[in-house]
Amino acid sequence: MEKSPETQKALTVLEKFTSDQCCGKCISCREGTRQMQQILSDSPSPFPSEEELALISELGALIDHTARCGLGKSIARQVVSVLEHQGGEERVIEEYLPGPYQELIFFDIDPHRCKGCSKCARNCPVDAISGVIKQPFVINHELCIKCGTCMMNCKFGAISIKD
Amino acid sequence: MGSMIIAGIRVEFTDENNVLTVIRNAGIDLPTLCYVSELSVYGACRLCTVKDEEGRYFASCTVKPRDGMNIQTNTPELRKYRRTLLELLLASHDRDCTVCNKNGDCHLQNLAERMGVRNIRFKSVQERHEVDTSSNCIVRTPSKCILCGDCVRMCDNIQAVDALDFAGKGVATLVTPAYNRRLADTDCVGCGQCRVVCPTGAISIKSTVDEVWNALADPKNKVVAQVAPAVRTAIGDRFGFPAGKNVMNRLVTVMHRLGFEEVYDTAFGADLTVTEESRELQQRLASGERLPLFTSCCPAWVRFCEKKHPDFIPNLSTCRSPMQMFGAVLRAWDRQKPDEQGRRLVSVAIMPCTAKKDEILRPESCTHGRQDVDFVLTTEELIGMIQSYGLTLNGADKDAADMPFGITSGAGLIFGASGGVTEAVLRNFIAGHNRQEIDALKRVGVREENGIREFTFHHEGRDIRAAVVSGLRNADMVLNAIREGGKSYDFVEFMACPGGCIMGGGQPISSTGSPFRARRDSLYETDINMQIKKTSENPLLDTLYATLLKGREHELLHRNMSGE
Ligand code: SF4
Ligand code: SF4
Ligand code: SF4
Ligand code: SF4
Ligand code: SF4
Ligand code: SF4
Ligand code: FES
Repeated sequence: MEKSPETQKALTVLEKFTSDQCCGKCISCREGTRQMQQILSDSPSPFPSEEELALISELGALIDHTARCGLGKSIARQVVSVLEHQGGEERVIEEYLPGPYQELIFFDIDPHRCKGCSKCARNCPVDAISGVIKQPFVINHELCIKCGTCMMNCKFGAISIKD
Repeated sequence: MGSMIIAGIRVEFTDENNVLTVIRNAGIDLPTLCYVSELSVYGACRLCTVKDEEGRYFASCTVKPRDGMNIQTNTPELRKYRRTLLELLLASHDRDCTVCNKNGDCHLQNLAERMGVRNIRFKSVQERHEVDTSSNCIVRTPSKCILCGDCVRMCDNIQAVDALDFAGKGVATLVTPAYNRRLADTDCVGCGQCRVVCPTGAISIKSTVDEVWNALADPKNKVVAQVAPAVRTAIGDRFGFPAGKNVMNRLVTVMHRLGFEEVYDTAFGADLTVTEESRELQQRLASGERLPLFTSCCPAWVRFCEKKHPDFIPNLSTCRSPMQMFGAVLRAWDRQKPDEQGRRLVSVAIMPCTAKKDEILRPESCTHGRQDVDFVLTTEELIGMIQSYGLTLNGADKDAADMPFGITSGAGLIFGASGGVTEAVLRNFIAGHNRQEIDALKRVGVREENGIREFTFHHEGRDIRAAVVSGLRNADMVLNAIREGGKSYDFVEFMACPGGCIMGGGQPISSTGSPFRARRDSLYETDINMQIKKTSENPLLDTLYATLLKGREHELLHRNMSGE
């Protein structure tokens, strides 16, 4: 079945995430994103039905509230918002969970996109980001706990997940 | 120090490590699948998620208690999350409970029941993985694994073996030995502690129950069994006795009914071990060679020493373990006085231990090419046999262990708890029968609870420096300290399982707190009531040394590395 562009976008994001970016630790993130993907690809129509969408957004809330790091949370939000056509609305991450960081992925600031506004550094819960105003900021990977707050806060899309 | 509100009730806290512990102390048993208080915090299951006064959600096992917190544990949302988490987990779980080794005793199954999971809204996505039966001690069934990491942290944090690890990422994450090897090809020592913490059937005991049933059914066999001290204070758990209750005599009756013709007490083997080991210590103290003397009755510890610290192999006592000494004696007895009906002796040992399953297969555990002990059954397996026969320990008559090896000392009995071997050996260093002196031994430090305890014992004008160590991480630290010269001892007792054999890898697992103290206290209690305190007072030993063992002590009681 040919999927709608939104569904296809969500599937692409999930595909990459479940196979490549997710560290596999939290049940909610690992299994939740896997099931999101499953529901979308099993759906017999181009768009998920009301029911399927309800289950996906329930999973989104679950991941948002119980997954450990910002990576899982941001993927869940991204998927739900793509499917709900909620683009553009700025949302702020509500929590971060301290703890050992995972090694497979890291957050990085693209120096060409960073405008040096310092918003990421001001929001980082562990002061892992430093820099001079109007010059590209950098993340200290030794300190970073990979909560994802910086990425959620950057207005210029300069911060992304690398692996 | 401080106080917080948990589900509307104010509770005080002191030095609790995390909010989860405060919640549990407040009487709310929040479900968890990846929290074991002795291990490092991992935070994978997310079941312990709670909500604070600002509406933030967090995993309570990962957050330190702060004064003034206001925690909600049971909002409709949290309840829904817990159930959905279990649903998600079960969707990727090979959930054929009816044929699972853990059925009825499974933490995952139990939580699904407690949280009222009656329907799984997600598609089954379980993957089949090959079962790893390569180890002689435990079986790994990865399709039952929920990736909680408890075994990984147990094997590393507590046992310093590091045989298990995570591999892969995302949905392909697996817990497996590094490089996907078989367990038998790793440094695994078979202690079974990973099985103790595994909340599912993913790690189980390698069972030989069927083989033993077959042996019992064959009229050409005479099947006898020995029962280790630690078994009798644990097996009652499963039959409704209070934790730690010593049910040896009922167990003997029930085992006779199962078809074991004679049931002996491994404490007799321990008496032999103590006798030999005290002699060995005296000899080494006199010659000053190969000190400190290390105990050798725990096969997981012996493997650990061989694999990780081979330079210390000469320090290991040459004594066989109590099980192996007894096994060799039984076999020699049978050869000297063959069964009148010409039946073949099948020797079974009931042990708290998974590592003993490997010990009986070692070359030095064989005489004339035949294993001295044919089968080791763990406490758990024996429970299974009793239940499948339709018997129970409740109401069973009380039989005494069979003769001619039925007399044992208290010293042999306390082997089951960490520190017991040392105390038993030191009792033999006390001349005469002075009860006060024997009693005073209890207070030198041998009965403390920490995983490394050191003390000095005065004997004939010299100080004997002893240490009692349990848990292999602790063993690792002690060995490094000895090697680097930071520590020096004359005698060190090592047990792989934290707390000793009463907490062995083949014991029943309690869902309500650690049974350690109950089991240990029960062994010490029984010792108080025993007439014979020291192995050197056991009259049976004298007879045995004068007859069967005469001139053959080395052959039968020490490790014969050639296997001849
Ligand atoms: S730690 Fe982050 S990436 Fe890993 S499973 Fe949890 S939420 Fe997903
Ligand atoms: S992910 Fe960003 S906000 Fe979070 S700790 Fe790292 S640098 Fe700081
Ligand atoms: S591990 Fe537990 S839940 Fe899974 S099949 Fe076995 S008994 Fe059932
Ligand atoms: S049996 Fe012991 S050594 Fe082997 S994997 Fe399990 S915990 Fe590690
Ligand atoms: S084998 Fe058991 S203890 Fe180990 S990760 Fe899997 S479920 Fe957890
Ligand atoms: S401490 Fe006891 S139960 Fe544990 S491995 Fe050693 S002998 Fe076996
Ligand atoms: S117990 Fe807290 S995440 Fe598993």
